Amino acid sequence: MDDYESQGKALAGKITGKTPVVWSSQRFKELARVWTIKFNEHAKNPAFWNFFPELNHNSMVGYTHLGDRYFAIMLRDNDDEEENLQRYEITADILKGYKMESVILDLEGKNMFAKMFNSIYTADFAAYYLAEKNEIDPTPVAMVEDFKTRLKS
Amino acid sequence: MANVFKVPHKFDKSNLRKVILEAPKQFEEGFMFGSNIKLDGEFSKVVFYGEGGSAFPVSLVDTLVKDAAYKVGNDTPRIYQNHTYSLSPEASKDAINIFCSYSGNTEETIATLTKALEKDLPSVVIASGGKLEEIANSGSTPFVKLPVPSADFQPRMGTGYFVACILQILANHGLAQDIKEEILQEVSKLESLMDDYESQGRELAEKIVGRTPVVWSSQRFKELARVWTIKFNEHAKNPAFWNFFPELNHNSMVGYTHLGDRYFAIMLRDNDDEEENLKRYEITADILKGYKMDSVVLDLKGDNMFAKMFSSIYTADFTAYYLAEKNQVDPTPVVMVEDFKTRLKS
Repeated sequence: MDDYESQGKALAGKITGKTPVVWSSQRFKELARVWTIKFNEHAKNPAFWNFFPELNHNSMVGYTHLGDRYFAIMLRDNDDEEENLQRYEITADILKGYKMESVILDLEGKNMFAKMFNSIYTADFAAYYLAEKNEIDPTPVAMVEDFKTRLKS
Repeated sequence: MANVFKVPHKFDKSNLRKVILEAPKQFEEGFMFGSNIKLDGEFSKVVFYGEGGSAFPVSLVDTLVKDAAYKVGNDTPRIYQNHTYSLSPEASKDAINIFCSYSGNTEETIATLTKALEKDLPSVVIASGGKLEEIANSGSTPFVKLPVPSADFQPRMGTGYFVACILQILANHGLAQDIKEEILQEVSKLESLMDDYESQGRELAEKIVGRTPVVWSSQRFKELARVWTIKFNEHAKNPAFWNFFPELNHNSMVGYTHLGDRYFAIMLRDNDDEEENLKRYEITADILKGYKMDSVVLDLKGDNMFAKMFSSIYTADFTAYYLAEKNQVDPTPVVMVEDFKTRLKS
């Protein structure tokens, strides 16, 4: 857990002031989505997800404008198809030309469960330290509570 | 009466405006393309392969046929989508495998078709030409040849061809109801309202400029919300994201506590939605306003799923088209995607 904490803290430093977008292979897309939920709820920060190769066909081109407001976290599974693995570095490099920064995180572990939860705990810490940067308590979700109250009234 | 005074905006070098205006005409042709496609055998499911503009029409078909089945109390058709280079476990002999690539040269789709034919899986190819046509014609794989109506025609603009053709193929195999007549009746209404969609889109683009639109709907319409974002990405070269009620109220929404002013929510409200869900739209808009995030609620217009879907898609097309003007970019080519494909091959 110490490793996840330091990795998460370092990552939060890079994201501050931007919106993280989390990308994976199709197989890990629910993991990518969980990352965004952590950013939303711990850090109260927007965050979005997508997956390779589909994102190379449409979503990516959106960053032609406003790319500098986003930061891509690419979750790479080294057991993925070779053709798909080639896409990570090229995508990162192309987006750099549009002022969009990114990082590639290799999923660690020998099976789906290990890869998934190693990454989720890193996400927890990344969002936790982004909450610090955003000067906000990571636990309560005031807007959601406010919403529920108003829905009932 | 068509508004003959309107012209393409100055960044629109290939007249995408005309392509949008003519899009409803695709349905009638699309049904014809699918009419002769009938594989021998009994099938219980369909697996689709494709990416981008050749994939999202399948999501719309999925929404349409499930809605049609639900209305008459039938089991919903089993439809799977694969965006990878490999066959998935659903690709068995009792599945029709349909390979969609407008250009016919999408490398993921070429890879999966090759693997499916090696395993002798029941397959159909839909493309305008390219390598997929060659592969289909080198054997006896049923092939639908899509037209290329103009030189720079973009796959994302061929949705009517894909949707109608796929619906027809599913109906031919008893895998979905035949809703052709219902759709063709709606198409003429859509055509008569294109001016309205254009003005609405133009107005909406004004509000979005400089921000990232997020498009929200009910769960039933989430694929529609996603298509809106693709239009923003590809026509306007602008980021855009989607989500749906009520799920977004439980997590995504709270993200706009920070940076909310960089976003603009477009909420697609279906007035036939559950009452509890309908209450959420205005409250969400109001709460987000407190975090400097603006939004608009657009009611889906039409008497059925198809009409609601496509009246909204054409509005999305025009919104993104005019956002491209604001972004000072040609709405047709997707330079970054082409650059990417070149580098992937080198």
